Amino acid sequence: MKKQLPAFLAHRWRLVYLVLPFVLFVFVFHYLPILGWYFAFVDFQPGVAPWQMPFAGLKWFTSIISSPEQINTIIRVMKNTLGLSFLGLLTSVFPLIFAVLLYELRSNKLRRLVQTLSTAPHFVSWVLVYSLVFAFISVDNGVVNNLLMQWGVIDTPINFLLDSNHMWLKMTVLGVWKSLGWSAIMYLAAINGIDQELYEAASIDGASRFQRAIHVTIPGLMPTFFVLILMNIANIINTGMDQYFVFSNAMNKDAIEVLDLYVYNIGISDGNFSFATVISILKTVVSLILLFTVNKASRIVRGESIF
Amino acid sequence: MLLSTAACGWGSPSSSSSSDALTIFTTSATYEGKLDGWTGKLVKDKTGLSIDVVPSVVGGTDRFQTRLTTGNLGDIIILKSRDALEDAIKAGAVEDLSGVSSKLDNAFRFTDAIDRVKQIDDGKVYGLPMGVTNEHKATGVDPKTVPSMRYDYYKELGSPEIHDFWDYKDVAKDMVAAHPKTEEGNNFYGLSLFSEWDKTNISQIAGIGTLMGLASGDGINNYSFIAIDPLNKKTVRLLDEDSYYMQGLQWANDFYREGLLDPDSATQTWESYLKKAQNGQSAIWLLGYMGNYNFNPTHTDMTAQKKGYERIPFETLNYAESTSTFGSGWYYCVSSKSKNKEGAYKFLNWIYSDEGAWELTNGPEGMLWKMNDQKQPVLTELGKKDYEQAVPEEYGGGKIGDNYAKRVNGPTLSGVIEQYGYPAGTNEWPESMKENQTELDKEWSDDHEGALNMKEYMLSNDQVHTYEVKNVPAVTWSDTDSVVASQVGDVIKQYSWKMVYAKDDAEFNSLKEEMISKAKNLGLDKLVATEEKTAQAFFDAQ
Amino acid sequence: MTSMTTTRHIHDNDIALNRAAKPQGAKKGFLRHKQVNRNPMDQMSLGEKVFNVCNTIFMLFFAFITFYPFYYILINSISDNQVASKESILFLPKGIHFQNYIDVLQLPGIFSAAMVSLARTILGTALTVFCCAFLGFMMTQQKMAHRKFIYRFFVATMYVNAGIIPGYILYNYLGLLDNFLVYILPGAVSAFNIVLVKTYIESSIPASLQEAAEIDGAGTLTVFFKIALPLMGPILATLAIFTAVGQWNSFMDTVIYVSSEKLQTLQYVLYRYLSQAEAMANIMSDGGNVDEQSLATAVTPQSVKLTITMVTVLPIFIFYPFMQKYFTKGITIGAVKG
Repeated sequence: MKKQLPAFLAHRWRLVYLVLPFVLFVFVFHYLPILGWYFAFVDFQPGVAPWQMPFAGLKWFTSIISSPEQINTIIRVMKNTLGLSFLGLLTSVFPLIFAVLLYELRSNKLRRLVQTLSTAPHFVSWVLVYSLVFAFISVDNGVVNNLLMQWGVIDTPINFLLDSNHMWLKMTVLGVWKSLGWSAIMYLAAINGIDQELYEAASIDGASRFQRAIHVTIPGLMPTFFVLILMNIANIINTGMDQYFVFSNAMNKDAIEVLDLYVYNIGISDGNFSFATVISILKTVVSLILLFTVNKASRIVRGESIF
Repeated sequence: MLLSTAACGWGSPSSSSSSDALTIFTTSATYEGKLDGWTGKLVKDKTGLSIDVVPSVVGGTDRFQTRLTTGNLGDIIILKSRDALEDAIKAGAVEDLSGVSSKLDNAFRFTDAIDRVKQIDDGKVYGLPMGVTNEHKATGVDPKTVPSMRYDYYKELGSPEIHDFWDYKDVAKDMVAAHPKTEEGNNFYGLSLFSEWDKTNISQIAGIGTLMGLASGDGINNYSFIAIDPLNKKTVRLLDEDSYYMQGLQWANDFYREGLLDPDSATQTWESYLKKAQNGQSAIWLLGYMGNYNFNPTHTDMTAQKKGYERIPFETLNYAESTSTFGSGWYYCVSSKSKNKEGAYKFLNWIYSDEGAWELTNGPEGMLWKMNDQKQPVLTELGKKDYEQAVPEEYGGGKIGDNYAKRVNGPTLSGVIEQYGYPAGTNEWPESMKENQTELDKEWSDDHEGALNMKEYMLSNDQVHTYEVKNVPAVTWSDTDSVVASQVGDVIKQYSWKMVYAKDDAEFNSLKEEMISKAKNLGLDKLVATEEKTAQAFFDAQ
Repeated sequence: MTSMTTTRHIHDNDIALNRAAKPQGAKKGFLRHKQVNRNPMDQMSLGEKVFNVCNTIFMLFFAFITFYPFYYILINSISDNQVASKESILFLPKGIHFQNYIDVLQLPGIFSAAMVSLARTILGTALTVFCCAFLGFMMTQQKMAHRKFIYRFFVATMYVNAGIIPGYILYNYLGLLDNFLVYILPGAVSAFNIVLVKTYIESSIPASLQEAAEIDGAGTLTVFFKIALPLMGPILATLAIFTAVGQWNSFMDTVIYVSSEKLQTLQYVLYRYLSQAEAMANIMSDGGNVDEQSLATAVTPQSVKLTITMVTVLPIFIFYPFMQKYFTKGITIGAVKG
């Protein structure tokens, strides 16, 4: 059969032709802009033709680590980035648990209500979250301090926002609060995709609800969970900065300044585009290396790879 | 296939194509949309143009650099610095105006300022400087940095003598001891600060220097790590062991250690700070206007009883004020891609005219102001109302506060406007200053030799010294140096706040050492040297 | 709801579940469900009862803390602005009024912005869901030549980052600046969604279905449209809600690629107000000429910002239940499907 058709017309190639327009599309929209990495090697000037920009060599790459103090800073910033990302990875199991618990709620109405309400923080910007948190725990007339004073727990009000202890933990808890309900949606969809005969079979075998959750629901969610966690590992240096930007202050900065925030703080906002490009390149390279490493690791450990 | 639809999609040009509309791209305002209300009608009546305002910064993102890559910047561009202007020139985004000087004679009459722009590129005029004037004269406006305090409390304490800046703390302390809560039951602190506007230091603390004859700029270049003493031709390093800045941190730290500092200072947003100003929750405001412009107008019942905030000077106060004929360092430019350049010239020529500059601030005669018999400008009944007051439809409607300064923020002329004999700002008109006085203001005035505002008092007591801005070269830092500068500034900012919250001398001093050594390791000395060299060039030109 | 009279409570729920089951079009299986006679309530052990109560309490608590910010925004947006600007309102609104909403709804251009937001949400979601569902399905076709490479080619786009300016220059060449298509084209092929779809198909749709269809002579496209697509309900709903909310909330693309007022979106209007204080700070620190007297009025009051937030978020909550039913059907109704 293989010999009857030219190779490029075989079924396996015809499948490629079906996705080819999309491949081209992705190439144009996602890969073509990589030409802009060239700006990392010049002194960027907006509106000037790329070949007329003064060539800078690796200046921008070395400028990150040009003094011991800067190396210290980078180490501190990377520690925060990786620490917060690691806690984020640990907590990425929560949406799964939440989805399973939600699924176990007896009342359909309640399930829908909780599910809807739990997504609410996803729609509130970090700026507003900060003003809300501030209204609660500010020293000047903040509810939390007022209550603690009334109950005699403390004598003088505390500025919780200035307290730099357990900063990673606090940020992680806030992050979980904001994203848990929203992230659980993927698992809810996956639960609904589980073959219902599995539940019935389990019931007939006399499995309790708890056992059904352990032996049917959770295994059914594992493929989604593993794919998501692999993608998150590859994303470990992209923490975003909105949350850390609004919560950072002089006291907690050493513990909260992540790479994205650091880059913003030292002047990307002022339009140092060459420097920003260097960071983009480094982040891309690190992410892709991580992605293919964990993928390989998954193949070795779990016997199947994701990509 | 999708792309071809895109290419002929339903876009619209960014530059206004019709001959009676202009788009202003501004780096100096937050308003976006049509210039409507009375300002819009005024511009339309005088120039036949309708204006669209596009702010550069939206959602925390500055679009200037991005837009510059394609020159997609409307018809008129307002630029915030010479660096930005030079970038725009390199990108070919701005039009040379030297050939159309006859159409812009109102702007070209400010020869010092125009000549300075000509130095950038071989006699070409790529931008019109803002805030221009032809004479060297101090303004009548109160300096931002002269503190305000609760005046009635101050008098309660028997108007204690304040010899130098450091004495304010004792007065604030006594005020808090006597009034731990405000009249409305809020906490009353000695000092409240906020951090949102800080760049390379705690800006309110660094601002204290301006009361000691120092300046953070020479009118051309701004300094981040030194302050200059333009009268004595000296420079001061902010991070020197005993600099005024270090003392200022110590001063704020004293407030903290004595339980007088608003504990939210390092964490509160501008909004909560404003809330506190409106509630009158601090004995002293380092930005003086936070007191009298926020508390007093919202507590008219109290000011009628002589209660509220007023500026309080100290004996050794010495304010160095620059007078410049070169403009403020901000520019109006015409986009080289504009399809309505004639309209742009017409608009610019009008706003640089005496009439344009005056009416953009105050509206046409009869609306907010009129000339009295002595040829002095006075406020009309409408003009005495607050910014939220609606303007009658015959002038175009909107609120009083919907003025050009707020929406576009490009004051063209500064100082006295010849045709009217007074500066455009109503807060410099003697008649309106007198009429606007509350009972509290009157009392303050009586106690201060009849002065109508702080500036007048300072001028008559020889506490203001002016210096002329010189035509020195603008110093641009290399890109790598500016990265280092922001890193150093970040360290100073962070440690300064830590020092303000230090528990004791030991902690304060060790933080100070740490700050200095970190800043030095990052490259502070080189930055200081550059700034000192820049300052020297200015002193030499004096 | 967390009543301790468990039996009564459960009875109510049972009815609620049955009632909710009807509109799902699940009637045909309903009887069968009864025949299996798997009524979990009858067999509930003490441990399960305790779990139920704890789970319910925990869920209500969580719902409360996640919903509170929303409530906070609501009460602050309807409280007297003068009061709200002076004190913190945390539990009950003070001096209720709706002037803020009237003002916000009268902002110039707000209606057109809402229409643009709606258009990009509907068109963008349709396009993205279709592209990603199709590509996710194609990526499960083991027979495809170089399938792995193509899949990786898509996945890597999640991490490839060139910064804003190259994208801007590209869109300029493509004629996408100031063009409605800039809202819906760039995100049409989303690697994240493709991964989700592929994972879903592999774990939920048996390959045997496709094989059977192919034996009957169905081509790949037929398999996709006639067999795969109808079985992808939950994941399509997930994609749709993710994309729709993403589209609705997106504002950076408007900030960077759009200058025309006609193409401004609701979120853009919101962020302009939200970030005003920050923008003011920038202007101040750049030595901008800001009139001190107007400073207090130049920044939009918090209550107005909160009102705009409400106005932009409420449509999501109105639309949400329509999508939600696809992924929260739950165990009883789900069991019917088999």
